[in-house]
Amino acid sequence: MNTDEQLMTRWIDGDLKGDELRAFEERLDSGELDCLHEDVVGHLVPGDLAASRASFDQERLVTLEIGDQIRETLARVREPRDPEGFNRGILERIRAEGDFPEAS
Amino acid sequence: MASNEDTKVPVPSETAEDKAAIRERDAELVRRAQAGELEAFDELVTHYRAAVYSMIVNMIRNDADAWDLAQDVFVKAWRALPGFEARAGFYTWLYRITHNATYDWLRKKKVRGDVEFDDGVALDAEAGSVTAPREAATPDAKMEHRELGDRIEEAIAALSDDHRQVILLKEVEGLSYQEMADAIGCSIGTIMSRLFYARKSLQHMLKDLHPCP
Repeated sequence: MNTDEQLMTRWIDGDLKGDELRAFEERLDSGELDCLHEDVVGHLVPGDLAASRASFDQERLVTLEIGDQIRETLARVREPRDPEGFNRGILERIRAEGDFPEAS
Repeated sequence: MASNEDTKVPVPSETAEDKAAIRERDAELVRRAQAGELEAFDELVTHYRAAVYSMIVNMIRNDADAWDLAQDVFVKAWRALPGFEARAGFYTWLYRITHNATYDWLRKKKVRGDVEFDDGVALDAEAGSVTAPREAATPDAKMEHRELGDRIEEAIAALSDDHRQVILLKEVEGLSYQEMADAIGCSIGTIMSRLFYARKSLQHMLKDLHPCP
């Protein structure tokens, strides 16, 4: 059984489908999950369910945007300096240990 | 030698066919390495050194330590290779070793109180980036982009180790919840909860850039 935090993560990532998605969005619409973003809801008019739901949608967009920016900033696969020396160092350490797996 | 070179390594975002071919290739290399063939292990190192090194650099933010730690990871992998069973795939298994080694490193550094982030680590999007710039940017746009990148890096560095790890695995490595759980060695539920709170923290730290209603 997922907690509400876990369901929210899956909703943001588009991982909820079908009945599970419908049930979760009904709960979002009802205000039942407002406790998940009290920091935002605290600024809304109490009982304004439309505004509450809109804030969840906005929060989802913001999360996805931040994810995009993280990817743009960090999603690089970089070789270590001197890649050949990197491999060579590993092999030298392994040979020095003399710790070879048993031949099968 | 250039410190950052464009490279192409198997990452989880590749197609199912690519993954299947990579899995098959790895299985063969692992089988040969388990039989004591060091050349096969050397080939595995070549395939995965950039992925392991990049993950460690993003976690510990220190180029020289990341180089040493990435080497340790592969030596540990060699020692553990006889016990490796191909159920999870070599990539996921290697990530788990990387995760454990990185956490051990961070823990020891914290005990000694000497964690330092190396601002000199080259994170320039134009050097060593697989993600090519979309278009030529104006100097102002470049500056703005650079500042945004700095803010993102600062925010990620300020996360707890657990939260930083899940954000990097999800957003940068593109792993599924299950792959993350396998790599870290915890339940999927824990992964999803950590992601929830990590994202909340990031939103809070970056709220001036991304105002919520």
